[in-house]
Amino acid sequence: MRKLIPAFALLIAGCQDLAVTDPNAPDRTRATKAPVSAETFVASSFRTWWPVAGHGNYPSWAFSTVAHDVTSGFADFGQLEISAEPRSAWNNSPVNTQNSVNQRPWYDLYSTISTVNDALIAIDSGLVIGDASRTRRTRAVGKFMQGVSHGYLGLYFDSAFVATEKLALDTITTPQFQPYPVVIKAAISQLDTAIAISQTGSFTLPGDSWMFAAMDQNGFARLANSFAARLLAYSPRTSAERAAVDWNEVIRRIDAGITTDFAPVAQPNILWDDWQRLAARVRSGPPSDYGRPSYWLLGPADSSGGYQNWINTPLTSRQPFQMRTKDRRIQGAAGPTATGKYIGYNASSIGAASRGTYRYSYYYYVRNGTGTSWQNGPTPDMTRTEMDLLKAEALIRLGRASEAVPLINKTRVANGQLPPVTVDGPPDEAGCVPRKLNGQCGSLWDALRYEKGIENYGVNGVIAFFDARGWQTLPENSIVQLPVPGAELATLRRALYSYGGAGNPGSAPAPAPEKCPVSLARCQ
Amino acid sequence: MKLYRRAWYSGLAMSLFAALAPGSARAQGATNPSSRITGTVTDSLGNHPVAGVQVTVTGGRLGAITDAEGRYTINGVAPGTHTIDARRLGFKPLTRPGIVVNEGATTTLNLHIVSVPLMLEAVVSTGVVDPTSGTRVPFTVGRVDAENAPVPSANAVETIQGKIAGVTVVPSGQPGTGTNIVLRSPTSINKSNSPLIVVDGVILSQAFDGSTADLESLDIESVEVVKGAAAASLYGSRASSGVIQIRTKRGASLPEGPTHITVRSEIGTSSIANKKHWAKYNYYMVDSAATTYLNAAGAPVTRAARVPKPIFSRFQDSRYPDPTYDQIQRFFDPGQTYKNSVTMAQNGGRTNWLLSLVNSNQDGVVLNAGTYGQNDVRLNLDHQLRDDWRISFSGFGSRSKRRDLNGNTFFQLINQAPDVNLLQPDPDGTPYIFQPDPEGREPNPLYVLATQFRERKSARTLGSLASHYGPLSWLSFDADVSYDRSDRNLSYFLDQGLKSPTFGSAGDPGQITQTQGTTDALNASTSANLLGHYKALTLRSTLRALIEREDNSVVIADGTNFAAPGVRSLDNAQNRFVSSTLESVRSTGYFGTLGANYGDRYIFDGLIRHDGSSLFGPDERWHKYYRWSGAWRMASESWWPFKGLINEFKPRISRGTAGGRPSFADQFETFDFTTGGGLVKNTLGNKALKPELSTETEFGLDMIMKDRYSVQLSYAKNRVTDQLIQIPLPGFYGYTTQWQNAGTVEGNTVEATFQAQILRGPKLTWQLGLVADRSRNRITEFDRSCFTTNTIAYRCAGSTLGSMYGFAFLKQAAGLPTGAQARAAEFQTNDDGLLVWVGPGNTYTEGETKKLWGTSTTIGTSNYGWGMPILQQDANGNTAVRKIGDGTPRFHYGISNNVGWHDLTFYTLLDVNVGGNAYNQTNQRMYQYGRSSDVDQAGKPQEDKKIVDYYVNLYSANNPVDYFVEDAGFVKLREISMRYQLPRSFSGALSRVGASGASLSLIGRNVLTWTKYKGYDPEVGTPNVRLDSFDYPRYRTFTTSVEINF
Repeated sequence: MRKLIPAFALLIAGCQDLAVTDPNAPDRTRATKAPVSAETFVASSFRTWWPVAGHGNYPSWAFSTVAHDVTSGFADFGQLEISAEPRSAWNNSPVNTQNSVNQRPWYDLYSTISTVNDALIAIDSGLVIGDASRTRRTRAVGKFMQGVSHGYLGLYFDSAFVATEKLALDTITTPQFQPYPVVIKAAISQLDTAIAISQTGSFTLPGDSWMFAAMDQNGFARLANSFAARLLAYSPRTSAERAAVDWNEVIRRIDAGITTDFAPVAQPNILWDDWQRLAARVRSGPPSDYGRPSYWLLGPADSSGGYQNWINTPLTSRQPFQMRTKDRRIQGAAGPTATGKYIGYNASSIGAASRGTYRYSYYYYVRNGTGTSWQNGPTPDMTRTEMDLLKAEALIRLGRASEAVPLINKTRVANGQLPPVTVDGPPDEAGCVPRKLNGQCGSLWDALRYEKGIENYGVNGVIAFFDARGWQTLPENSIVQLPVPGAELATLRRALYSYGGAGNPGSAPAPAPEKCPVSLARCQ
Repeated sequence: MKLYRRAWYSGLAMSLFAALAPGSARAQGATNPSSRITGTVTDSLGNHPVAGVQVTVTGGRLGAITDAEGRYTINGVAPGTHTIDARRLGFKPLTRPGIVVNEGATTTLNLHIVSVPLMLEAVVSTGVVDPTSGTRVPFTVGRVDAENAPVPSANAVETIQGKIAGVTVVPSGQPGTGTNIVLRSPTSINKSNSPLIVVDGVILSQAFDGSTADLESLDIESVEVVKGAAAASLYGSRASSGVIQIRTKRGASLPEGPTHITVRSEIGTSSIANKKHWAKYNYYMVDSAATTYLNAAGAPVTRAARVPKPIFSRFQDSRYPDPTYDQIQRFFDPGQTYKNSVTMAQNGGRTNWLLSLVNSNQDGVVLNAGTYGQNDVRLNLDHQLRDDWRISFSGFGSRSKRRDLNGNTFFQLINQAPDVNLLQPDPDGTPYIFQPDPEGREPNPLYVLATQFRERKSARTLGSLASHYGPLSWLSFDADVSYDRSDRNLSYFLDQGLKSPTFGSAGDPGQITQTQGTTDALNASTSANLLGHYKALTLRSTLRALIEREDNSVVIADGTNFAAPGVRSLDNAQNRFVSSTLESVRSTGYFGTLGANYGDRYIFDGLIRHDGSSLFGPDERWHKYYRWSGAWRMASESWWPFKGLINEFKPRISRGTAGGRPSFADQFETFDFTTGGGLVKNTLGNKALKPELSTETEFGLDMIMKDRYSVQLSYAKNRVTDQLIQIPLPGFYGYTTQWQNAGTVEGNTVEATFQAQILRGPKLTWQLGLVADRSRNRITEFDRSCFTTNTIAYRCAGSTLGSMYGFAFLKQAAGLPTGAQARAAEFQTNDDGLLVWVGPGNTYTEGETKKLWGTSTTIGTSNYGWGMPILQQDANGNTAVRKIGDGTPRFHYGISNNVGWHDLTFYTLLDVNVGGNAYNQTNQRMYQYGRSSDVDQAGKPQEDKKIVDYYVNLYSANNPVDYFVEDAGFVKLREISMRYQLPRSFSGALSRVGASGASLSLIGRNVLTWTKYKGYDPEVGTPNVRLDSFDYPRYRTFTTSVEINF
């Protein structure tokens, strides 16, 4: 018997099955074969899109500081170098420690697209997800996510690869990158397909998953139209391109778009807004907060002359100052240190002088308080105000400025408690808001830009950058778009390139903030 | 086909040995119980009786172990002529041929055995199939015996530190957190470089962190180390980084007789050895006597209303008006450490056993945090079922509990101002205030530690059962099964309403986490061993089959937003999340060895192993490994000219292969489940993955002179191909990466081990040990884009695994961008050796006198602040990433001295690292807010003072930068002990309670460190990535121990 023991062990060794499956995660075949998991692919795709669409730290901090929307003395999230002045080229090396600025949106958006495509391929192959309504919902949202993901690739990058469910990716070894207008066009087409699918029958999206905002198929179609409006209006890299946008189409999309804020309800660890969390962060003791509203954003509201003095001081000598303004979003009624509706005052400066005192600001963001709404409350991505002001811009550009006036006055009067503007701009009086760089009262165009800046601050981390490049308000030599990440170029064995900096392609021209797109009073 | 191959191996070996076997079996025959061999074994040096010597009749099954008086008796010896072997750990094996035993008679055989002060001569069992004297092994096997390690280490694995050449150990500072070990040069770019660890035949799972933390050092009998593939091929696809084999004490080493009991108690204190240099000054406006703060108008104000000096006059040279504290002194608190053990053992002839119980506790050095407690029980049992059948059992159980720190503890500490009182109570009743500084940026770490409950409970169960059956003198069988079970339970609880770093004084909504992890690893093997003699030729062969089964499971449950305070239940959390992981690994292996020894002079060893593992896809599941090695014992040749001077002179060569395996998930196309049930693509699986294949060639020379000096020299060259590297995929795939075999690492190591028994008189002995090594490595092939990782590490063809990459400050104007070269005269190198812009006609000392701080100039797209250090740019105008240091030391030495004088034993171990950098990110962070004493300007001449922003500039936004690369070389008095064996006259009182002896020891660990390094301790990070990033520092302990033997 004892002699059999070794033989027995040998037998065991010989018989042990070495084929082990992965019990932790499905592979593509398993995931797309089952209707429920194929649906999950689409249902969870919004969560990978959300952080890189202005609600995570990449590229929000880089873009918002480049755009002179937020100012910060911190170096996290790639904001310090890219927003330093004078502006230099973006370091697109794969070993740049801040390479997440363009890697995160690139890879996360493609991850979203790819995951959705797998489910769409399965549906195209005949997979039925529950019933016709659920299948329709999955297809519609799948195409929507494909559209907004390609759309944001088009908004961020100079070029990208359009990857739909019709392509057999495994056969592609040298992907053909398309210039961003082609990508944007494809994205809008995908959104239109989503709209068309949604109108073939009814479905509902729940409030606690999918896009974390309850809506029916009609609300879904409106949202898709609003995103299409964004893509049309925000994709231009220059003021000339922005002028050439089909603004009538923008208005059509906005009118067919959202009627209330698109504000997904955050859930801890599932979907939250880290951009909003940091924009609103107030520490336990002064100096508080992380990023602050910049003087470039708030300064036009100042009636003390401080802003004009600041802007005329050489960059490296600028020091923060206390403003006086009638805008109750910035300053409370009790005086210049009183907290406004959106903005508080704190004279402590944070950040190192060696990083530039021009980054200092005495103002901080209180609109979202210091609570936890960023992790368990509504976190707006697209406000009705944004759409109103985008429509106002369209109307001005189309020569219908008088129709834009009430759209601008909505928040200006209700939130800012400022006197309404007219087609000539704000009333020409002491304390007018906004003012031009020379201290005179601003135009309607200035009022529009100011209104959109103050209302969108802290809501979405990338919109201000899109506006700034189209309005030609970026500092000279800023990047106007991101290059394909260096890591991706290295993987594809392509030459490294970048944007920004003096003399480089893709750099912003000298700013002309007060130059109106059409003839208006008080305009250049 | 596979079955056919196995039959072929087996058949070949059987045929070979069948021809040789009859000659070996002649000693077998009828026995007469009245025939016996008896005698006494004494030490040849002092003529003292030696207990515990195993005396056996060669080629048979008979044997005995000497008692306390050195006596032995072997009954039932067959009449005839026999060869007698005598073996005991620490002595040279002795063989006495030609012993005649007559029918019914007693043969007296007194033996003198020679102690082995030289480890080179010790019997080793790692890397070889059966125990062999080190002088007959054709490759390097490092060994440490318990008697060479009088200072018990924190865990068993650390015992080898400084005692075996080619071993790099970087223990983590926090008690109970395991050890990082690399043997020779690292073998893997991305996967583990940790060696395989085997304890009494139990192959420890490497699937989870801290696998070494539980291993009790007091149980050790010996630790053996084979460092690379040239020796470790025996262990196949898990052995590319070498093997450490730990054997624990057994009753077998005791003389037959009564139960021996040893009670040991060690107690002492732990304390931080080196302090960080903390800033003592500030840059606020104060009066001339520094008794009060002033506002901008010069009026006295409170601290809350204080104002800093103007930005460009902000020199950190004002004393604090308020009391200041040494925050390091207050935060680090000497803790108590103790270890109590009871060991009971008996050798009852056919059965021997050992039972040990250990209870230990380490407080660590952080105030009220980091305590680690462990309780162990070990039972080792051997039983001779029959003369030809022996079974052995080894069992170990451990329970431990650790209070953990949170990851930001030391970061929070270094951000505290010197004038805040961390020890004042918080209004919420917590003994430490949450935010002692109205301007504080980080909370008081003591508040966080007091309010956030983090506990890690572990249980470890190791068991092995081995059976040896030797029916014939030329044939034996072994079978063993071993089991490793680990349970980890991590708990985290932060009650609702307590202040937290995230929610500040508003109060946290409550957080709870429960993590449960288990590992079950089972290994089993069976083997046939064959032995044959043909004249002067001895052949040995083993054929073995092995299986490995390992299952891991982890369940994590998180909850936030409590419904009610004070309830430590997940049910209390209104938001709950769970996740789990299951992994199974199945492996099978077969190997055959053939060892030949001709005339005890020419030694050959060959091995082939065939391994299959579920970690690979179907087409790459099976791989072969081999080893061949040879040695020539030249000093045994008749013509050897240095007899009497050089007793052993053995050149040797060994070449072997071993493997490194991927992680469980690497072959699978994986999706990540996101919290809340979402799915996102992660890694594209690769079924074609192959093992990392390590091929090592080792040349060496072993030498023994005058039986008291030994030298072992080795040169090992290693090439590890098929490196498992995560290859980024084009974005449109959706999968971010795929593991591929896409690189090669080459390394080499030069090692020297010198051992000398300088004095070996009856009353005074002095043993000296010296180990030295130098390892180098380089990535020679790398089929992917270069990338940075772990903050400072850089992976690229041509780089080394220890290299550090980052930004570099210019030292000379020649490094300025081309566009600035025309104005090079405006730049100067300051007293820190850094290039700064000073402007036309100025010097770097005139910042204050000419009010130049704060001025700047722009050249091209670069802005140069006056007096500010400048980062080197690349051709594109971006900050250049370049090599800034290398963590690999130039040389490493370990020097041990063991001096015995009468009843006193004195031991020291000195560990020396020459060269090698560490990256001091902790100090870098202390520059951000002026907490490092480097930022203090008090006492400097005004012209040399720098404003605080100069240091913020050096901080470089926490990017790796050459300024914080430091020489981490050190000389460390790592271990020191003084042991006094109480003379019998003093132990009379003890004898009345049955004690037979007692000793007292004074022990110090990490006693003194001589280094230029500015951190707490230069032993930081891991052997490859020497990053000092707010880690728990290594600390020193002083203890006393009492040991009583019954």
